[in-house]
Amino acid sequence: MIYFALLAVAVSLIAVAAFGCGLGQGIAVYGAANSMARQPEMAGKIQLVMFVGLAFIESLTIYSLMMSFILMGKLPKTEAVLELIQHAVK
Amino acid sequence: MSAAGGGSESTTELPSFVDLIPVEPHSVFFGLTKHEWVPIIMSATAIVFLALFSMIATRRLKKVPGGLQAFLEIVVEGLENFVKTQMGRVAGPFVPFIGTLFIYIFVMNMMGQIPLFHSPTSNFNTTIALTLIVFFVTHYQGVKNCGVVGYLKHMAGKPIWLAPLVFPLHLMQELLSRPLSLSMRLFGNIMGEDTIIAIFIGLSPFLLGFIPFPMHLPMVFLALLGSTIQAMIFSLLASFYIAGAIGIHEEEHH
Repeated sequence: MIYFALLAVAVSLIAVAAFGCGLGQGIAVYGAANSMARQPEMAGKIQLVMFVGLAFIESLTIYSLMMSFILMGKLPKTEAVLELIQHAVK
Repeated sequence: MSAAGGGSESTTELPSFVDLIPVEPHSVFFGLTKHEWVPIIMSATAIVFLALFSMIATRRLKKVPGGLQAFLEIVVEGLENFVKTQMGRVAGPFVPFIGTLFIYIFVMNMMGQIPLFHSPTSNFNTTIALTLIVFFVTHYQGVKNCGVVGYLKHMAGKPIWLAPLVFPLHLMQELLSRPLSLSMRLFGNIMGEDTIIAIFIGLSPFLLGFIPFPMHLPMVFLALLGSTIQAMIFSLLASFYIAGAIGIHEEEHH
């Protein structure tokens, strides 16, 4: 029972990864916007590099989202848990 | 709408047309259950569609192109520029390979948004297969262009006395972190998008009891954008790795 409780806590604790992703993507867009403002004629290339960088940073957070999906699949279903609790109460 | 009929894993996903085929859910064809055949059938559908489309579109090519041929010429020229930016002078033989990777992965990613279809790339097996192809091409091209000894020296890094430090690092990078990250990036992004859309569809309410409300619409926009970008990133990284193995990057700096 404690195992499933800790698993449920772990699934939601993985969301802390979004914190680092937000910081990283913010720094990337900050750099891109600064350079686009300094040199407007390079804006197309800088935008391309910005998108590629954002996708790399985002994929790190998506790895942790995958982990939480996989762990969520190992949690028991609600009916099984309720039945277990009822048996334990009796 | 759960793992439609199979039920051994509980990843939420939408049903596909393979679930409409009247076969018992746990029967085994050539060692795979019906649910495990879905990505293979979807991949085959994408390949057949692309092949038929290309064959029909390239019949009777004209000097002054009509609509469809002009569009395809824009696509091919865009891909050629894309590969030339990464690979420089050896780009010639690789434009078909990287271009095919891009178009194939793009079509496979987009298939998930069509009703009753399912993206094959939301399965780890498909992305690992694509990554293995890129892995073998990279090392074969590296050995073919630099020779075995030259390729090992290239992996040992620039100042030769740093080789005991750099060589294991490069080896780990080439064998482990590059293939794993390449496949997991594509797999994670596409499976994440499809799973989030399925979860939102499950959560969306019925207005007045019978009008369905499409709460998953913003996620569909995210999925369209993400699919395109991930296809581009996969082919960009593939061309970057092949160029790195052949040694183009060192040539540019000296």
